[in-house]
Amino acid sequence: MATGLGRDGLLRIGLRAVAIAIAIVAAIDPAITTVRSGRPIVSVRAIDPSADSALALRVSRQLRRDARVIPARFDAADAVIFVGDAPPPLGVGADVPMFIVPDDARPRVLIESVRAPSVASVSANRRIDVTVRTVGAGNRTLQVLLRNGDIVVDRVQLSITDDSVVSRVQLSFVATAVGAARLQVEATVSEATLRSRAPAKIDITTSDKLRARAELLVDVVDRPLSILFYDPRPSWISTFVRRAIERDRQFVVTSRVVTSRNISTSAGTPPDRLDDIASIARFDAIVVGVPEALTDRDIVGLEAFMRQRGGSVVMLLDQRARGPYDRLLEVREWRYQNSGAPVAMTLAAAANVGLRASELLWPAVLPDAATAVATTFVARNADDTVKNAQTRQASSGDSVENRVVIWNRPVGAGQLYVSGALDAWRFRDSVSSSFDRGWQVVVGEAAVAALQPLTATLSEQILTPGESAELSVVIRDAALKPVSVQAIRANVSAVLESGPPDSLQRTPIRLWPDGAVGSLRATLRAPQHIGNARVIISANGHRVQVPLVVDSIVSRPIAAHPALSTAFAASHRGQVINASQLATLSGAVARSLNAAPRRERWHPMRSPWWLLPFAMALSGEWWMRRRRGGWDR
Amino acid sequence: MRIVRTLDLAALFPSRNAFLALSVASLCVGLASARDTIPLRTVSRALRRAVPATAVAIESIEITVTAPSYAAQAPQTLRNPARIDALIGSRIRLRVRASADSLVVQTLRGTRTIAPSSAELFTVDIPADEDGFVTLAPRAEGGREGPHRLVGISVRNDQVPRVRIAAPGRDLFVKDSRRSIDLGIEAEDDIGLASLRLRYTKVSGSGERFTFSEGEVPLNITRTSQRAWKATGVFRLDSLGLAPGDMVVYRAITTDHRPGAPPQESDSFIAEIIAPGSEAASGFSIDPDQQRYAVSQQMVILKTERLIARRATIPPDSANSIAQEIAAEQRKVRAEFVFMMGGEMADAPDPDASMTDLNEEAEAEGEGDIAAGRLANQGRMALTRAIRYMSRAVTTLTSMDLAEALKSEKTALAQLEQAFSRTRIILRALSERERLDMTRRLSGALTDARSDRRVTVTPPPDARGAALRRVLADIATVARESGKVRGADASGSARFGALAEVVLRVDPSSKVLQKVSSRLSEASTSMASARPTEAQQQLDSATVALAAVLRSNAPSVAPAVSTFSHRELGGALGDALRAASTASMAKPKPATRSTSNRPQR
Repeated sequence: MATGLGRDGLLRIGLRAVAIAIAIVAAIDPAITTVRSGRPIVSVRAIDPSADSALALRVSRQLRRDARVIPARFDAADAVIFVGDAPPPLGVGADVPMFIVPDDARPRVLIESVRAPSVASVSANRRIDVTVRTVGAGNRTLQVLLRNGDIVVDRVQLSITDDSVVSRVQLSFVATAVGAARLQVEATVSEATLRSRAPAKIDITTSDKLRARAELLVDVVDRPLSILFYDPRPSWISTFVRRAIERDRQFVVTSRVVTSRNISTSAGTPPDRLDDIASIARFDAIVVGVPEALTDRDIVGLEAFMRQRGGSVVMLLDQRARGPYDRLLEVREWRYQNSGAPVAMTLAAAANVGLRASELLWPAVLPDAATAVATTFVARNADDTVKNAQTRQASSGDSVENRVVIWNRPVGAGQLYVSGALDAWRFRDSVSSSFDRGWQVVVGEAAVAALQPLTATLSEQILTPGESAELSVVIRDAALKPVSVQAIRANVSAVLESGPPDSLQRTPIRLWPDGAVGSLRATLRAPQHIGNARVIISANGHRVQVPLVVDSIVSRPIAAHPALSTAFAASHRGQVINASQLATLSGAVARSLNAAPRRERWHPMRSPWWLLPFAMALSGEWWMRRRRGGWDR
Repeated sequence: MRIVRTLDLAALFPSRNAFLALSVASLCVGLASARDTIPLRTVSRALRRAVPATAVAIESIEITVTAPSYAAQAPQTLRNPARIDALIGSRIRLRVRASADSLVVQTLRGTRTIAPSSAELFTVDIPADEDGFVTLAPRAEGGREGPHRLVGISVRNDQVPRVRIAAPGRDLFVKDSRRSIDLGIEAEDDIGLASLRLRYTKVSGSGERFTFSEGEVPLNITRTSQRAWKATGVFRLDSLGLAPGDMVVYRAITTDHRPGAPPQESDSFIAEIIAPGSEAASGFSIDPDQQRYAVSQQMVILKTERLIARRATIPPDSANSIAQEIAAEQRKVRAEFVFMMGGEMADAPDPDASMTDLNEEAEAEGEGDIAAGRLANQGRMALTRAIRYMSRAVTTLTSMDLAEALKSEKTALAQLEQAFSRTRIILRALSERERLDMTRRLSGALTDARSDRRVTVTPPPDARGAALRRVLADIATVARESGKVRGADASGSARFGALAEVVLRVDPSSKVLQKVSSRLSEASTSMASARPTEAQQQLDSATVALAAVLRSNAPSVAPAVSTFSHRELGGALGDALRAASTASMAKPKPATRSTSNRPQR
């Protein structure tokens, strides 16, 4: 038989047998369990996936030789590596060594914070305050853009003079339509130095280190602010402020001016008195002229408006006279000055808007918890700033500089604004004073600050699929109920709407009491599909909705806190290792782990290299058969 | 894209070893099967002949701006401009070379379709009469349109020529009628001057018997350029035969070449031959701007006091000249009060006469007033005395007796103060037209007073702002959709071209909107030419400028980011601080006055 087959025949049979054996064992896929010192399992997590993914990948590659790397959250891992500049998130899980790898590349740019309103009126411009940190970018240009969707709506350029600079940039958002506007702040450092006012061309191939992004969602609404002007007697300042407010489309003005006993001039349907909280609760802000003419009952009503409604009251003084209203102002001592010439005032909320007045009344010491709304400012030249003026005032004691003429203080959950610009109404010339705009800003700020019947906020409004966010709901009338009210009933429900309009998915959200009366909270998990969504909350006939965007990539501000990161790592038996010292990471991880042997299962047939002998055996057998000239032998 | 760049394919798909093994295995199988392999048939390559679709597009635009003939300017030729700057009345000829069967031309006036004047050449004439734009859309026979081109038009008005008398540049009061006045005149125009003359009006006579005669003074004109001329001349008063009290009013007149344009005059000045008690006749020479600075009696006193103080330090001629000017001003003040009194003081009493003397003739004429008791009005008498003292002040100023003049001026002021004191009210009868409408006065019975209820004021809609917001939103929409297109985007290009046109329609004269429109137009062109980077930059420039226009309508207010918890906490903190300081808090103190003692009301 062996002779008949010959040596070639035996070789052919042998090759065929080897191939069949490999195929059979591969089909069985046997598992073998051994006890050995296995490689540690390390979870590598990018703190901000949009910004730190690249570095996380580098860290994974670095560790791959000495550990099994899982580039995601893995609670059974032997060690966790957080990659990024921001402190790790709370509740990171198991008690295992934790390391932080911050990026220390130079030059680089970080957007540390973006301060913007979550809701804005379509007819008002809203400022967005951005804090940008640049490292190792001296003598370069920082450009900060604000994008609304795919278009740039504002742009600021700065020259960076020092190696490490924190720049505070003010951008302005112009709404184009009602609805959720997804904005993106982008900071870019370019090589070009800023020599002219013309925008420097930024190389679009700029590396990620020289570019940072942060996104935010602003809900643009067209809800006019409801303002009540109430004058116990006619007042110049109140009259002209009212006219300025009436010229702005973001307000709806109702007014009552008492011109004589039992005779008044009113516009709209104003309440007859201020002491009835039910009749004044519908207003966001109440502007009072001649407050000294208010009665005790009026003051009680206004205080209830602020404490129980969370509304704002603006008192426009036109003289210093005692009255029941002193109880709300709580000013111990007043200062009065008639400078003869008009003095400029700048608004804290809008530095480029100024008022003027020559008769000023201000508190010698601001009442407790009060803040400045408008401060006197005497510009010495075109480049003078409020900060310079404050420095001058501090050093020279100038009697005109830095007087807080318009201020506000919290009264319960409401706000009380007081204006001591007694004759500001005399300086309405648009060339030298922004009277209309100034009061539109002050009254607008007061009205926006008023609490709505139902308030809902999300900790993050742009989420990745499946990401969690905290939802807070406050039912105003329950939360601000007076102590005398023993019980209050409220029905509240929340639902998450997501998906395309033709197949809208409605997911109920369970709200839990949050300690205080009227406050509820929930943890929301973002839908899996990318797109717009919204959370709708209903309570006691009121309804509010919070827009939400789900996207695969989300850019958020990154606030670096090196000390906090170091403390976090040290408390978890780890350490902070900069990206430039990545080579030491493996050793540090190994030293922190207990390298005890453990049982491991492995599957030898799952190696792809078995394919090679299998193919070689089959090919050799086939080649030999064809050399003999037959297909069937 | 940023994330995709960071992806590690080897880590995502760990197939390197498997792929290697598979490759070696395939090689083995290939070698085994190489024997007697049937040669592969040659695969023929089918090359499709690329037949370019006939593109409908504008290849070039040549624009010739021909200024009006009077401007005498050479025609200006521009190639593919984004904007044209033309003098009003110019003729704009567009020669458009386009692969199209017709060209749709749209302007603010309307839309018209024109046929080619020769092969692929279209000629369009547009008058330059207002700011606007022209949109050119090539159209194929089937109605298919190619990318639009937008050209903005800025029309520049022909400025009126300006002329001024630089020398002497003020009114003159001269004693000597044989004097000559050296004249210096300057004129300029934005295009070119046509003529420059100096005309005068001689006014002689008094009372209601004035004689007027006009003439022209020859000038030596130096034409520095077509647009700026200077002229000098000598105005010889002796040739006019002026008598004391006569005056001559003169002004320069210039014209440019614009047909039908009215001549432009300089400010008029007077040269008056001084006569005692004379005054500048109203209606001729007082420039409206100078009226604005009409001096008061107090100012006359102030000027006289200053002259007395300076008299020792200035030459006598200058002092005399200044005194004459003050006298002229005193006459103007006096004239105001004379007119106020009804003009009956035209026959002013002899200033040298006693203040108690009566002009019997005038007294007789005013007998009716005396009978009616009207002259018993003490205010009127004080006013009459003030006028007389003013006349005396004029006389003494003319004779350079400044101390006496000052005395008379102050007495006149005292009389004026008496006349207009609170107890004196000068009343006059109201004509029918001026009769008071008692229904509009705050009068009536108190019991009739009622509350007034008005409707809520609604500000007018901001149509311009709304239109620009819509444009910004549309740009965002088009940019989002165009971002998905690779290569040339004809649709996006056309839509940006249309938006550029919309921006210009909102306000064709706005420089900022012109810039926005130009940028959008450039972005449209870049997009059509598959230059996305340039298109993006031009688009960013346009949107930033457009947003700045919208921002200028309302201030940007700082974000008020405070949650309910913050608000509640702030209020609780305020209450706690107040409670803590209640014990030490005194009653509010009255205001401390820094600079004035303002009484509390």
